[in-house]
Amino acid sequence: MTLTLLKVLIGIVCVLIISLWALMLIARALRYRDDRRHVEIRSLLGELLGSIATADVSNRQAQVQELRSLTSGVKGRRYLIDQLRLVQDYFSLPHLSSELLDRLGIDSALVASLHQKGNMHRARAVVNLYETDSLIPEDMLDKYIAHDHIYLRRESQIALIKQRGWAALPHLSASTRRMTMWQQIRIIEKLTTYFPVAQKDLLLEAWNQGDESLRMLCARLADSFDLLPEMHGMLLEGAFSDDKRLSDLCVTLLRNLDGNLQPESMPISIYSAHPNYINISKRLAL
Amino acid sequence: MKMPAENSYLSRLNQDSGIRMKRKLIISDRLIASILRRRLKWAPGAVDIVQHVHEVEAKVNRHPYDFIITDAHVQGTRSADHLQYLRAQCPTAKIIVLDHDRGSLRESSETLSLHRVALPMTLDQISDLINTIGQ
Repeated sequence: MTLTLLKVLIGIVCVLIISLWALMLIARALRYRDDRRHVEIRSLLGELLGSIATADVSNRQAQVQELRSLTSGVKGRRYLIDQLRLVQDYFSLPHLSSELLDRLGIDSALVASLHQKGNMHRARAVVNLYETDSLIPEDMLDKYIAHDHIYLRRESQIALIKQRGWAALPHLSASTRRMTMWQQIRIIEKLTTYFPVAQKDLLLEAWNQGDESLRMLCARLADSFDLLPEMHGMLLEGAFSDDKRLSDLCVTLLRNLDGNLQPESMPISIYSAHPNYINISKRLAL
Repeated sequence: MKMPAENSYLSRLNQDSGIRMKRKLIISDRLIASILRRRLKWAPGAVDIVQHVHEVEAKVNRHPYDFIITDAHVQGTRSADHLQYLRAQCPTAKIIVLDHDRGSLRESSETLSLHRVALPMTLDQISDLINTIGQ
């Protein structure tokens, strides 16, 4: 009886070891196949992008077709998008890459992946779309900027900013969740890079939405785009806000105005009924 | 030591033509390097492509490069150390730094006499710039 049990146990262990080895071999083979495919994709893409002078890829139909067949699967497509994003970091090829994406069927595949079940997949699709300068349907973005899933919400906000620029700021109040400082920095970076001309009316409109974290973003934007002297009324309102973080930020920014901060230019007396009036006046050194 | 195929090809080409072909090194991602190589129409044997700092050391110690195009950030080292090392090893080479950092390397590129290319740039601009540097 004991001997039979031992034999069965040894058998199970042997089967386990063999199946583990088989799995390892299969994984290695798959990895080798993926590596070979990646080399082919890189080589084709390098050839395609390196030899084309204009945005016209129509005369490279055979190469495009080959690339399309190589990247027909999800993994291949993801790798191609990563490589295109890498190329975009180095070279400005907006027309070329959008035409390429279109011909490779990547655009439509990515837009389709926005409807996937997993929020993480949708978020990745949003990132890939805005990084490759593709347009995301606006109704989709409006839905996702207030989404419960943190990654999807954040990336949709960035996508909205990249797509609509300053006009997107008032829409960010749709999200009831607090915006982190890191997210605010990302938004400021995107606006600085893609929309370097500040639009004060839209900034004020966003401020008037009343959302505290959006107001913090507006204050930081006013600082980054050198609008503090013109926007000091807005910052003063923020300094007397009930939100401690917004109040601290606005006080710091107002103090940084240095010579521009004159008692006569600050209509601080309208806040004299505020419980923190004396404290904040002292901090503002008025 | 047996020379690699591309070296013997290059030295044969140099002997045959009587003109010394310039050696170039591209330190970047392989895709970026292959786009640059095709774009600049360099002879295949005259260009080496490396990606990691260890490969850089091996290449730079072995060949006298005339022209080096490098990413500001290379895997396995700090940018400043990498650029100082390149300048120390190749004092006469023209070194072009592809810089994503919007000017953070401006100072070191001046002190080490490097040519800095602020990215992203169009392929035409980058080819013109590289082809005309030092002329």
